[in-house]
Amino acid sequence: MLNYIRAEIYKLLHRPYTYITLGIMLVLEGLYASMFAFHNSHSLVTPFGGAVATLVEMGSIGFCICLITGDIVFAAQYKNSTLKNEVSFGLSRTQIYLGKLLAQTLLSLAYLVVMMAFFIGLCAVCLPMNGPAGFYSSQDALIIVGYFLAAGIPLWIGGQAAVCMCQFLVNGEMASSFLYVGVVFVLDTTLEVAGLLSQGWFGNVLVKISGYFPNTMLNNAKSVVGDLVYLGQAWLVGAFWLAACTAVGLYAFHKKEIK
Amino acid sequence: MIENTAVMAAYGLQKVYGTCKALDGVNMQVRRGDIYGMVGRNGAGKTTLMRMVTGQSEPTGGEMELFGASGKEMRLQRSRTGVMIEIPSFSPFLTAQENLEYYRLQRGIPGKHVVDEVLEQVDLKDTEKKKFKSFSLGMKQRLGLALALMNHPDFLILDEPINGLDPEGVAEFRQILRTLNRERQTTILISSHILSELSNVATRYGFMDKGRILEEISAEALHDKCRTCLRLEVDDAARAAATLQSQLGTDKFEVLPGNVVQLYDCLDDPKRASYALAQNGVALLAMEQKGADLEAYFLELIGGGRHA
Repeated sequence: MLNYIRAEIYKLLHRPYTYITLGIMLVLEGLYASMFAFHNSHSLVTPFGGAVATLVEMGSIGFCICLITGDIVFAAQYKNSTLKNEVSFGLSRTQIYLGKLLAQTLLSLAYLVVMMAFFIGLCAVCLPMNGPAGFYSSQDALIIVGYFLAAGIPLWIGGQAAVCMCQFLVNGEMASSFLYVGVVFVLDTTLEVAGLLSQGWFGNVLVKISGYFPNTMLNNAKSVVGDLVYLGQAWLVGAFWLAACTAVGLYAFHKKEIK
Repeated sequence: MIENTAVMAAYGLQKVYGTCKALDGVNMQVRRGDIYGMVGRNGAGKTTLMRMVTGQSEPTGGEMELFGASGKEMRLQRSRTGVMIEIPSFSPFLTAQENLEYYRLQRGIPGKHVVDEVLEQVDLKDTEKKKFKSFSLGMKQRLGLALALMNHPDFLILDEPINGLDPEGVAEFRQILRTLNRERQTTILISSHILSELSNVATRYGFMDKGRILEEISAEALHDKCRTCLRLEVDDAARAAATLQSQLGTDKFEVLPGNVVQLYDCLDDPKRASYALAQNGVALLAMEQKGADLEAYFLELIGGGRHA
C-alpha cells in the first residue's frame, strides 16, 4: 500500500491539474479576502474575525473540492484504460481502491491546510484585528472555525468516500460526478421533502435520515458551536459514510470487468 | 494436474456475455520456454482469454492456472508477468519516463535506473518531455512493451504487440522477444494478425476459433504438416509405397489413411512418380501438389473463407 500511495503522490506532483486547481482556489480566496479589504476602505470595517467566521458558510465548497481532488487522483482511469495496468500486475482490487481513496483524502487534506492557512494569513495581513461591536473577535472566530473544521473533516472524508464510490460505480467522470452531486447535495433535501409530505412514522424516519447526510450535518454544525455531542455525531456519521461508501465501491469494483 | 513445466494452463475455460459465448471450453497449456503464438480471427476469443489470465475479467466457468497457482492464489503470481493487451494505456499528461516511474513506484521495483534501461531497450530514450498524448501509435506500442518488460517477467503476455510498428520496429521487437526467450528463458504468449511475423518467432501455436482452441501444435510439427508434397491418391497404398522405394529410391513419403501417399520427393518432376506407379500396376486416382504456410493452414483448419 505504501508503494501505491508513493506512486499516486508522484503522479499528483507531476500533474499540472494539481497546481492549476490549487492556484485557482487561492486566487478565489484572494479575491474574497480583498473584497473585505475593498469594503473596509469605503464603509463599515469588517475585522479579521468577521471575515474568518464567514468560512463556516462555505462547508459545501469542501464537498465540491472532494469531487475535484477525486478527479485529480482518479485521473480518468476508465477513459484512459489504465486500471488494467494495475490489475494485470497482480495488485489486489482492494489495494487499488483503498489506495485511490487514501490518495484522494490526503490531497483534500493538503488542499484544506493550504487554503485555510492562505485565507487566514491573508485576512490577518489585510484586515484589522479589531473592529466595531457586533463582529466576532479574532479569538471567537478562530474557535468557531476550529469547531467547524473538527466537525467538517470527518464529514468531508465521508464525502470523499462517496466520490470514490461513484467513480468505481459508473464509468466516466461526468456520470460519476452527477451521481455524487445527487447523493451528497440532492438526496438529503429530497428525503426531507418526501418526509414532510408523508404522514406518520415513515415521514418522520425520512426526515430523520435526511439529517444524517454529511452536507446537512455540516450546515447544522455552525449553529451548535461547542456542542461536543454534535461533534461526536459528526464523527460517527462521517465514519458511517466512509464505511458504507467504501463497502459499496469495493463490491462494485470487485465485480467490474476492466476494459 | 498440469505438468510442472506449464506456466499457464486453462481447463474448460468459459466466458459468456449475455447469450454470446466468448470462450467455449478452452483447454490449452503454455509451457515454460514457449513462444506461444495464438492464431485466430477477430472475435475468436484471444483477447478475452488473455484478459482472464491477467485478472481483468473473471471466467464464467472452467479453471485456470498460472505458475501452478489457481483461484485467488493466481493474483500473486501475476507480479511475475509482463502484460500488453490491446492498445497500451498510460496517463496522457505524463512523459514516457514519468509514466514508467509511476508504475515502478507502484510495483515496488527497486532502482530508478530500471526505467532508463527499459526505455533504451525499446528505443524511447529520446522522447524526453514529450507527453504520452502526443505519441504515435508505434511509440505507444513501444512504451507498452517497456512497461511489460520493466519487472523482468518470467511470462510475457502480448496481444497484437506489433500493431503500428514500422518495419524497423517490428524487426527490433522480434529480436527483443528472441533474446528474452533465449537468454532469460522468458515464456511468451503472443497473438497477432500478422501471421508471417508470428511464424518468425513462435515455437508453438494455438489455433482458436469461436471461443475454442482447435489445435495446439509445435512449430516443428506445423512445419512438417505444411511441407510441400505430392498428394497421391492410389488404389493400393502399400504397393505404391513399395514402388516409390524400389523404383524411385526414396523413402521421403508418408502413407495416410484412405490410400493416400504424401510424397516429399520428385516435386520438380511429378511425371516420374506417376510413370513409376503406372509401370508397377498402381492406379493413380488423383495427384496434386500440396503445401501451406501458417495462414493457409489456419484457414484450412477453420474451414476457409476468412482471413485471420
